[in-house]
Parts: sequence; structure tokens; C-alpha cells
Amino acid sequence: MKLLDILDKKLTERFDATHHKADILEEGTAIYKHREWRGLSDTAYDFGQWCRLWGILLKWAVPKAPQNVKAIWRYRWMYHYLTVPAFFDRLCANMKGADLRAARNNLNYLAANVTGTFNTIFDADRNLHPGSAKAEELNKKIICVDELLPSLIGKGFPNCETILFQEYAMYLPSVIQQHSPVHYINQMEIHGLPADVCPLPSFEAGLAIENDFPLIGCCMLTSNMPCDGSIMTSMIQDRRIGLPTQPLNIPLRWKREEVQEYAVAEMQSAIDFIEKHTGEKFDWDAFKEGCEIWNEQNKAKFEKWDLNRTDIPPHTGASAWLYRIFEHQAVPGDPKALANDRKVNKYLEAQVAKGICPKEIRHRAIIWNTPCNNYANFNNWLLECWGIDSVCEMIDLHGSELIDTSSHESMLYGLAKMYQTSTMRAHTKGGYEVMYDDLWRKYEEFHGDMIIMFDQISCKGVGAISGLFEEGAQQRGIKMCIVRQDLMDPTSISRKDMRRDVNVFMQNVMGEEPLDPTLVDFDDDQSW
Amino acid sequence: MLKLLKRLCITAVVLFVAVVCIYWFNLDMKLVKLLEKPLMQHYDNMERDHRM
Repeated sequence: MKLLDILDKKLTERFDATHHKADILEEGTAIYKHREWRGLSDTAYDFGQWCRLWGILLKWAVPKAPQNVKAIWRYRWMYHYLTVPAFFDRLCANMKGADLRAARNNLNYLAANVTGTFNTIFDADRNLHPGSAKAEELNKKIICVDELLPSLIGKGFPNCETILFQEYAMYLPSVIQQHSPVHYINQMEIHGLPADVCPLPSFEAGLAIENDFPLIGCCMLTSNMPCDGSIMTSMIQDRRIGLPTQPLNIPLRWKREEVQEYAVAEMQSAIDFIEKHTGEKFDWDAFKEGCEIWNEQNKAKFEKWDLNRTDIPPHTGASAWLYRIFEHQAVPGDPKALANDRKVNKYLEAQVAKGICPKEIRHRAIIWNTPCNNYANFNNWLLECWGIDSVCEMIDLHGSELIDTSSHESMLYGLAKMYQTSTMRAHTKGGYEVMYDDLWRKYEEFHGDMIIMFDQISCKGVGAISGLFEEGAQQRGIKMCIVRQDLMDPTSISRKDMRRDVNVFMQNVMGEEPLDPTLVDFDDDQSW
Repeated sequence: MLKLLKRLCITAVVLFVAVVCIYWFNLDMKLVKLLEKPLMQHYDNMERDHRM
């Protein structure tokens, strides 16, 4: 034991890059010259989880190697998935103890689930298998839904696969590789569509124009979420993809009881639509089982929020919020996700019980508005450079009501409510009371001492009330740092620009010195 | 039997050291970075059916 302690000490003296992290990053690409040293035990754990990740990737890649090579050859966005180990490294930067264990387990769950879904997608893809009878047979049982609609409705069709249509070609690549949207946004602009729309629907339109969506499924549920830009891109995708399509409309003012009847009717209509196109009958028992698992997943999330309200917030950053988005949208009702939640919560509870805090925290920040996809590890940088821990993040706070599974009616009501608290409907497009009032409530609940407010320059909805936020913070005497970003377009606002906004605020308003001076200004423009 | 066991042990140790080196020096991602340019060129040169 003593020998291991000596070894740990020697290696830490030699390799620990805490407070000079930029020294182990390559100039421009910010690829690690060597991976992080986190102490012997945590580095060994990280190594084990990295091996597990490669195991997951090889388990996917090898059995269907010709098909997967064809997919990488065919789809530009597939290249970005090859960089996933680097993406996970970025999201786990500077993490130790329970935070590292939670992050690595969440991310590896995500990798296992996504690669499994790739098999479903590529087996049925009409682009990869033109004219294949086998692919057509598989497509009869694939329900496509807009990536902003949770897939829980699909639990009522246990013989079918429910796929978030844009999740794998658009959303995930946009967080994995910051430059992945640029080519597709350019395509959209070259074809004369307005350049001032949010990059998310622009990216989707570009994929449709270039025919880079896998052609799968027997029907498609689109959505009015989150905004008008998204509704417009649904039409462009609809023309290109050519599947029977039905919009599932989600009320905006979801707190109001009078909209619930409409929301439930929309759910029923969507079920009828899927029944018609798949030839399957909605299975209420299977659906009930899915809802009950989802309730348990949600309870596990409530526990995490409770833990982050303590003096030792054990699990923060993108590995928490990205996992939450994915769990809410892609895998609600999945027993494997629930098992992962319980495993992760055990790590977190144990650390809080012991009173250990393996990170330097100077500030407890509430992060409000949609996070920046092209800088998913922004939270890690905030903590490493300035000691700002993101104890509460708006994007992490959706889907917070349990579904009453006592009757068919109550389940439909709960399902409709769950959809109304989806990503970007729960807050940003859910009305004044959830976007504005909730911020101050969360600030109190999570014992914040500052707010990081994203100014997503192409989101007109939130942009309209940015002045109210500034006024509200001023009235309450809360320190609020406004950080400009453009969701997934690094050509308009780069990571460096975002960091500059924080640096200026921390130096001039807060009058502080950075924890890691090498991270204040460094070049990562070519980084993934 | 003993000889086989010895060989297996040596192979396992060599493999382990190799994997640790790949992990520590980030060789997996440095290799993926090398693939980026040729693959992007391939995607740029693909015949595309651009349509609204």
C-alpha cells in the first residue's frame, strides 16, 4: 500500500497538469498530448472506462464491419462519431472521485445505446440498401419521431423501434464535433434559405438538402417544438424524406390547465396515426411498464438534484445534462438506463455522505438558457479556469412530473405533460413564468451565488426578454455574466469568444484571478 | 503447459503495456485526426443529389 502511495506521489509530481492544463493540449486542435493524470486510483478508473468504451465501439463495429464502413463512407456526420473518445475526455476534464465515475458511466451508457441504435438504423437504411426487401421489412416496424419529441409513446408499440430521426445525424454530432454543423448550414444558405435562423433547424435543412439523413421508417411524427424555425425545417425534411407525416402539436403555455385537453387529444391522435401505419395495436400494459420505469428514472434524477443542492455538488456539467436530455428524449422507460442511474447515484451519495469534495469550487452558478452545443465542455472550463461550478443547469430541468399509471386516461394525461416539459419547451419556449420566474426560484433552491446567462444570438424568443433578465438580476443584486453563443455555429461565435465574455466579467466585475491562468486564453479553434 | 502459460503471460503483459501507451499518449485520437483530412476530401468529392 505504501509503495502505491509513493508511486502515486511521484507520478502526480511528474504528470499532474492541475492549474496549467493548457500545457498538455496541442496548439489549435487542443488534442491531449497525453491524457490527464488524476491520481493513481482515478487515472486507473478512467483507463478502465476508456477500455470499456473501446469495447463498446468494437462490439458495434466488428460484427457488421462492411455495413458500418459503408455508413462511414456514405455519411459525413459518421466521421465525427470516430472522435467520441476525445469528446468523452473533454466532458470528463478535471474530474475525480464520484463525478468522474458518474460521468464515465453516463457517457458509456450513451455510447452503448447509440451504437445499438446505429445497427437498427443502418440495417434498414434505404440509402445503404437500395431496393432491399429485408430493409423494407425492417422499415415497416420503425417509427420515426422528431428528435425534440420524447420516444416514450413508442413503449406502447413494443414490436416496433422508435427512432429520434435527427438525433443521430444532427444533434449528437453537433455536440461531439464543433465543426460538424458548418458544412450543412452552408448548404442551407447556398440554397437560398434565410441565414439568420437558429443553426439547429438550419443544420437539419442542410442534411435534408444534401440527402444525408438515413432513409428509414414507415411513418414520421413531427412537432411544433421548439419554434417556428423548427416547424419550417420539418416541411423541408418532409419533402425530401417522403414518409407519411403527422405533426404532434405541443401547447406552449404548458402550465395552464385549459391546454391539457388539447394536449391529450394530440397524443391520442398520434397513437391512432402510428397504429394506422405500423398495423400494430397500442399495448397499454407495455406502455404502463415503460411509464413506471420512466417514473423511477425521474426519481433518480430528483435525487441528483437534491445532492447538487448540498455544499458538495457531486455531479455537474455536460455529462449530467447531456445524459438527462438523452434519457428524457431517447431512452425513457429503458431498464438499462435506470440501472445506470441507480449505480451512479450510489457513487454520488457515498461521496456526499463522506463529505469529500474533490474539486475547487469558488462559485455556485445557475446556468440559464440553452447550452452551447459546439462547446459542450464549457462547464468543465468554467470550473477549471475560474472555479465556477454549474450546480443547476436549465437544460437539465425538464420532465419533472411523475406519470400517474392508475388508468389509461391518467397515463395519457401524464404522457402529454411529459412532452410539454421536453427540451426547449419546459423553459425557453414555455412562456414567461417558466423561463423568467423559474430562474430566481432555482437560484434560491440551489443556493447559487451567480448566474451564467447564455445569450444565444439566433434565438429570437429568448432574445426578446434578455433585458428583463438583466433588470431582474440588478433588482435582486445577483451577479449575472452574459455569455454570447450561437448554439451550434462556431463560425459566428467561437469557443474563444465565449471564454472571453467570462474572463472579462470575472476580472472586471468580480475582481478575481483565475485558478488556471493557462486556460484564460488558448487556441482551440481547430478542436473537435 | 508451463511454457504455454509463460507465453500467455508475456503476451498479456505486452498487450496491457501497449494498451496503456495508446491510452496515455492519446494515440487513438491522434490516429483519428490523421483520417480527418482524407475523409473530408472524400465527402466533398462525392456525387450529391442536392434538392429542396
